[in-house]
Amino acid sequence: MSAPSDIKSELTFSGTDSEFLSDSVLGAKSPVVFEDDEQAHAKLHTLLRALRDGRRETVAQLGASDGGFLCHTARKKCWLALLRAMVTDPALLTNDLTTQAAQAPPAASATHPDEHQISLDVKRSFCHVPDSHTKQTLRTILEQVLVHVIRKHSQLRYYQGFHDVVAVFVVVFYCGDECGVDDLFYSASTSRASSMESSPHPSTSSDSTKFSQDFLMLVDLEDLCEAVEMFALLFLRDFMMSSLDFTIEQLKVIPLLIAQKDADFHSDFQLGSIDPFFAISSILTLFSHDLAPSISDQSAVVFQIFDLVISTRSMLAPLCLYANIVVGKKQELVAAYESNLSNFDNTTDLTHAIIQQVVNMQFEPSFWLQVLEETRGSLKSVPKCVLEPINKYSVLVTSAGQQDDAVAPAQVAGWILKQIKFNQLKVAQQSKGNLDKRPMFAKWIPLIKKRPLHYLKFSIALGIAAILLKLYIQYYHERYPHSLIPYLEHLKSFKFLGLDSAQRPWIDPLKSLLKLPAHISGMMEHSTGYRSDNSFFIA
Amino acid sequence: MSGLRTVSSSSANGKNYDSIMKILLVGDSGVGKSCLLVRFVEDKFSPSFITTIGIDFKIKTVDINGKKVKLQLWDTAGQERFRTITTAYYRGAMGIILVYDVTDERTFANIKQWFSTVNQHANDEAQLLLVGNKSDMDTRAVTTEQGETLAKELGIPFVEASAKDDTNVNDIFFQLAKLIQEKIESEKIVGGQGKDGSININGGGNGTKSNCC
Repeated sequence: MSAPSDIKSELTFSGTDSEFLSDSVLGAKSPVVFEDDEQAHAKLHTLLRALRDGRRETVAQLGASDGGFLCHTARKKCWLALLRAMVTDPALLTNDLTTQAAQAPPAASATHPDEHQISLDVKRSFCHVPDSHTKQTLRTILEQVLVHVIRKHSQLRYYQGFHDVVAVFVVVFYCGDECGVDDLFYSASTSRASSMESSPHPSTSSDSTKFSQDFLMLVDLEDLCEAVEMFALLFLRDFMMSSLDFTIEQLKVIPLLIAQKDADFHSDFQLGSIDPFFAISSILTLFSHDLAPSISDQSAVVFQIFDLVISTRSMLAPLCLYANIVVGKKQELVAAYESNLSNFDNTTDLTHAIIQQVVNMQFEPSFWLQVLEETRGSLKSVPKCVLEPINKYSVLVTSAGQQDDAVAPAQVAGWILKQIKFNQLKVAQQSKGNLDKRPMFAKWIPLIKKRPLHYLKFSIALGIAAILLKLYIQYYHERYPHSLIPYLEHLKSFKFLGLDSAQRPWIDPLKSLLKLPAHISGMMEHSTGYRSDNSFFIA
Repeated sequence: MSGLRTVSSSSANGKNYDSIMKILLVGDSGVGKSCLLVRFVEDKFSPSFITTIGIDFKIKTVDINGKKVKLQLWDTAGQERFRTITTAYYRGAMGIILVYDVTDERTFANIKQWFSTVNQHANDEAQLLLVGNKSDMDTRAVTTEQGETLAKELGIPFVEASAKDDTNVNDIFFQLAKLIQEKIESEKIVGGQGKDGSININGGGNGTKSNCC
């Protein structure tokens, strides 16, 4: 399939959709619609016209329909256009956000602490690509984009799985204009590959200078970086905090969605009482960890999932899809659950193991079609209560919660800042909680480590004082054997608060103050039978 | 905490194994945890294996001293941020393999950190094992002696292995399974055999460690 050559890649959406689109073109209902090339061609034609005319709603509607954007040439342009349409000033979002958010000069030249992890993960990416030259080119692009984005938005953290998401973008942008990207990248990747061999972690300043030169040269790489940056800021920032707290919040939506669909299943599987960690790789990567982006099949499910997420502006879509898959595999899950009940130590292990075994994402195309269709259908009607675990700055209720209006870059920057602060607060609370659980001596260790000399001096002084006291008592005892012992005996009889003892105002100054006048204490003795002992009041 | 447990089977319920052991692999990102596991379970190796996100589960049945033992193998993500999630799976683990990369000193230095995380979250009775992976590589940065010294210091057994050329990979899992088996046997003698041959060793750390389940 080739796209007409007259499409404008620069688009701003302003007009409203007025063009009539037939159901067959949208292809929303029929599972066999794209077996018909003509219909696919018609859809593509409509899509490209809508794109050219700047009709965002039509583009989004087509992207969210069966088959999504059909091919990478269209997909690439549509993703970029839809992402740009989400913010009032896209250039400001990707160019100046760092400056605004961190109140520091753009950090593009400084290295990010997660770059070592990036290089470890890039080495393990695109394993499914058979051709080694293509694989190396894709890895080079992936690493450049990851390093660029993470350096530019240095307040965000890289997570394992972000590379899987970006790999999908890389494949789409690479195949979407394969000739152009490949030709432009060939020279860049060969020179870069040699520099990578000598230094496994491309973090030197010469590398970044080189990258910025490549970056200026390659328009497509610029588009790719822009799309990834916007996707990260608007859709993925919950996952890019310093801890997994907000990711876990999102995961907790899945059991609530399952409960909405099938309450019995939810309770039989005790999904309310276990952490849904089994879904983490699917959610963090929008299924791209299990469904690696094929470079030969442009209509693969993973691309359609990304089409749906970007078109509907919804990070709820992957959560809904996951819930629909689990409920769709109910029969197999129940069977596996029953046959494995005695094999596991606890419910968390059991549920994780059987879900991983049954929900392995290697499904028949018809099952994917069914669950994607269910997700498209249910997305708009999801009740608000499922978002109960979510913080108020989350993408699910701000930038990727199916909002229609474009947001201002300053607002996005504000969400990021607030979310980072909120996350830091949570992390601090948790570590405080962990500290409190430690035994008493463990709490002193950091203090001692902080100022070891102080504590050493203090310990020595305490030891010397103890020895002196001991010597003094011994000396005193030898010299005046009768004067100290009765006094100590007397102290023993004090017990604690000096109750039942002689008046010792220095031990209990309130005692004398609370002493009742004689006539009242006489009355009390008479009426209650209590002794007019002051200890009654003190106690 | 439910403590260590072998789920024993008995021919009566038609299972084809005698007991189950839960084993966990932990260590820094990229040390080759998944590679060791795939080599052991599927006898495969790929130089660019996929990253683990969160936690993955695999199973393999082996023969230990004439008994069929089903090994439940839990592979964990190495990136620090996933520790919140992976530690939830330490519960009930009978064996924990601490893996480092002999070509990367940083991963070796972090073993102590992993050791303390394990001690914090796993049962006291869990059997640990230290593994230095990638022993085939020329670019070694951690010597065998360093590995042995650390293992001695931590009081745990040590194996150097290579998932790539399949050196000692089976040893890791068999040695660990045998140690666990021996532990269970000695617990059985101390605490008596449970119903259906299963035993439950509590993680409470007091004198009586076994009781029926």
